[in-house]
Amino acid sequence: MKRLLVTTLLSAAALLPSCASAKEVRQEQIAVAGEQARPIAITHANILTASSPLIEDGTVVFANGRIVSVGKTVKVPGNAEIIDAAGRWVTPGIIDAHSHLGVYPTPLFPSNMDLNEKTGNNTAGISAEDAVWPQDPGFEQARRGGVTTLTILPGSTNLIAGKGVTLKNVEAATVQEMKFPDAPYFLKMACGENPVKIYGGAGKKPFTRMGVMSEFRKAWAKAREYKAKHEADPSAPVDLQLETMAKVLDGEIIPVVHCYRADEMAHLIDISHEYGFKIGSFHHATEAYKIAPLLKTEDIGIATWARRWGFKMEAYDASDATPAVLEDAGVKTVLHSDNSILIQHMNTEAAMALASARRAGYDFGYETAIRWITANPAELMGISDQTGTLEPGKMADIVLWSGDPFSVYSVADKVFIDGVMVVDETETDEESSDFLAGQYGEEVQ
Amino acid sequence: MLKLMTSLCVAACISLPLYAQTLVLEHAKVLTASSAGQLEDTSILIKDGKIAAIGEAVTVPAGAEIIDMTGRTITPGLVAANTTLGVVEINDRANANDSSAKTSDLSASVEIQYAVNPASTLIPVARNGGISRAIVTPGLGSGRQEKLSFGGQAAVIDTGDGQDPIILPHAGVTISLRGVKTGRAAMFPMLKSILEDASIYAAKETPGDMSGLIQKNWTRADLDALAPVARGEAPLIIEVDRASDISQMLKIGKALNLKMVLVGAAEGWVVADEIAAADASVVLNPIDNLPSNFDQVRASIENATRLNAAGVKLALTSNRDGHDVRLTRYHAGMAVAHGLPYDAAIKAITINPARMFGDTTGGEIAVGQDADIAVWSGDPLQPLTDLVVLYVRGEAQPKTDRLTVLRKKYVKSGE
Repeated sequence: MKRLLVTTLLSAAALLPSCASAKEVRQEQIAVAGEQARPIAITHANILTASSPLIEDGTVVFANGRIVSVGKTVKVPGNAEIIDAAGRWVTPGIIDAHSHLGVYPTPLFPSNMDLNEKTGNNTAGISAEDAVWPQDPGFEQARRGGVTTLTILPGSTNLIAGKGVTLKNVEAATVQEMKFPDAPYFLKMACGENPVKIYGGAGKKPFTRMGVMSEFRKAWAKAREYKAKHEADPSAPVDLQLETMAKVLDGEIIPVVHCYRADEMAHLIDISHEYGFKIGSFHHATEAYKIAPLLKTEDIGIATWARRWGFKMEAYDASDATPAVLEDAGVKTVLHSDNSILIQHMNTEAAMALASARRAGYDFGYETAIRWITANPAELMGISDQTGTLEPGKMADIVLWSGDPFSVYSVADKVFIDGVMVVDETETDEESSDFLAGQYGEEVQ
Repeated sequence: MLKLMTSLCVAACISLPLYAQTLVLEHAKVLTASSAGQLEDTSILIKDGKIAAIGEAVTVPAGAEIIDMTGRTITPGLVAANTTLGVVEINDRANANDSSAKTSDLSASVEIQYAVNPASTLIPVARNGGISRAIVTPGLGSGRQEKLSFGGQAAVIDTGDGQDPIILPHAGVTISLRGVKTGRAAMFPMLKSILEDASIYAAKETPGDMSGLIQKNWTRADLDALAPVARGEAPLIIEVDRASDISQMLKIGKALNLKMVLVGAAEGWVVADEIAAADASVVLNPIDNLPSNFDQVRASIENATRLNAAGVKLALTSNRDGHDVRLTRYHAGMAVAHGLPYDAAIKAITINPARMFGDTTGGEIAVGQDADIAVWSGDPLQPLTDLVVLYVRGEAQPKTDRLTVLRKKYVKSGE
């Protein structure tokens, strides 16, 4: 089934006029898949919708790429293909707000290390989208881990690294086929050790955290001038770098900041007030637990880990309970991967965060923990009206787990993206990455 | 730190018995990691820091403290293989990473035992992951070698609070075949001749006799360090990934009767039968399934499962970073998710790594072993299971670590 549908999708894409936009390509694929496939009903499942209490022995029905109904007792269309979950678990597809797949791929060589445009500390004019290598084997492995949507970010060497792009995790030959329709772009910024290491280490600005903040202020002052100039004179020449930053000032592009220390996050908040932009989220943010009320007041989300710490000085003050403390304070809390192995195990990451929460005395349930890797990242990514929960009308991005998703032993038996099955435990497919095609060695069955 | 120094002094200066407490842990489910397998409703007697008796009913000595462990699962204290625990505080740019020697004057004679800091904040964090022992390895994973050289001698340490951490100061010699810049055509002849030299030297009747060696630039210190490896008394710990490299290494090692521990072994499953036939062991992170380079093209999530099925003795790890050894149990669980039998996974994080590196005093729940015992609220491989208590050589360990202290400082809610 998987092969058939994928082939259908690719032929559909091939038939499209070459001038079709990414959005049109993706939507045409979904339409073709929807027309040719029967509705699907997953029955007798424990369903975590990420928007309601756990539904035991429930059914989810989807058709034409969208969820039709979810509940304990729902009407299953007569022509539906029935998948009996037999007590297995269903969740929304996992969403990763911070990945470098395709731009920092495996295998990784200087010839495909497209993560950082290290030609200046502000490269706001570039976009990760232009470098995503769809053959990165990490995409498929992430799919097998249940990841259906992910944001690919550049950076964090530069203070302002460029644009990040949100993708559906589908097998494709071009990034255009993967782009999430109408998802907002991000502007990736970074403070702290990384810019100082690379630029300061090369005798360039910034050499210290003082330089970091000063360079940020200079850049945003220029962006504000540029915006004012273009508002006064729409025919003024376009500068790609300042254009991107002006769109942040307009609220069209979401700024996200790689930042570990609480004090640096506070400085970035000051800068956002001074220059008039709204930070969407801090990423990594291992000290976010120190300033949870401030983050709540500022309505800034946090994308962090359940367990990483100490790998560098600015990550030395981490706490296992960070997700719990943030959740408790009402901060939009997200677990992200930032890593091509971790992205395959985000359900276990959520389980670790939940365990740490309970050890610290917070009484959160599965319903909260599942949101850290589904609904909440969708909100930070500006796509929560489309995906992230199992609600009628949303994209049929669904994982059928072999068991409790917070068990280390559970694997994704079936994964659906826009209603199309892209992982099926009953099939042993050849590798989807072209890099792995024809490589020597017996296939893993 | 003060507390630590005090207790070391008590032990060394006044020679009071270090392990005053006699304990009986009653009614536990015990995953022994030994040939006894899994035992239900079992009691363990801990005396003088060692396991003195195991059984459904053990004779309780007068004055022993009895702890009811009904509903608990007991495993040996977990053993982290191939880690920087105790020799790294911060990996990068903090002058707090002492995991490899920064001189070419010493090679095999480097001794990581001297870099181990029992006051490292990583050690209490590791303990809270159930880790009671670790094999600390020098200089592996550089991947930036100009030419083939040894990392140095590994050490087995324990994580007990206030105890001398060194259990075995010389637990094998590390070498990496990853990314050696000379190229394989030079690397393998070099490898063969230096190992042959070690064998020639180890067989000499007169200590220090360096005549008749093939390579020119030996120091006696390096040869002395290699002699136990050449005699098969300590393992050669080899970082290697590509299937063909593993095959070449096995041929060389087998001809010299070396005890080999392969580290990484991304493509190990491709040559699993050869590894088993050479009686070599493998230390790997079971979730490393991506082809980071052309030496790992066949990296697979089923590597551990297939090696185990071929009869290869396995140790499972998280990544090498000492900060992350507390994740060892979850990585073992992920290997189970992909087909590794449960008892093989338990052995791969307890007895196997201990024995691979020559430590016979820990790693299983058996009479006579050091009382390194982890007590869990349930299945130790599950994230939602808590560590109830960790005993290291019979001492219940404190649970405070830096991460918890910081959280409590800032957040008053919860708890």
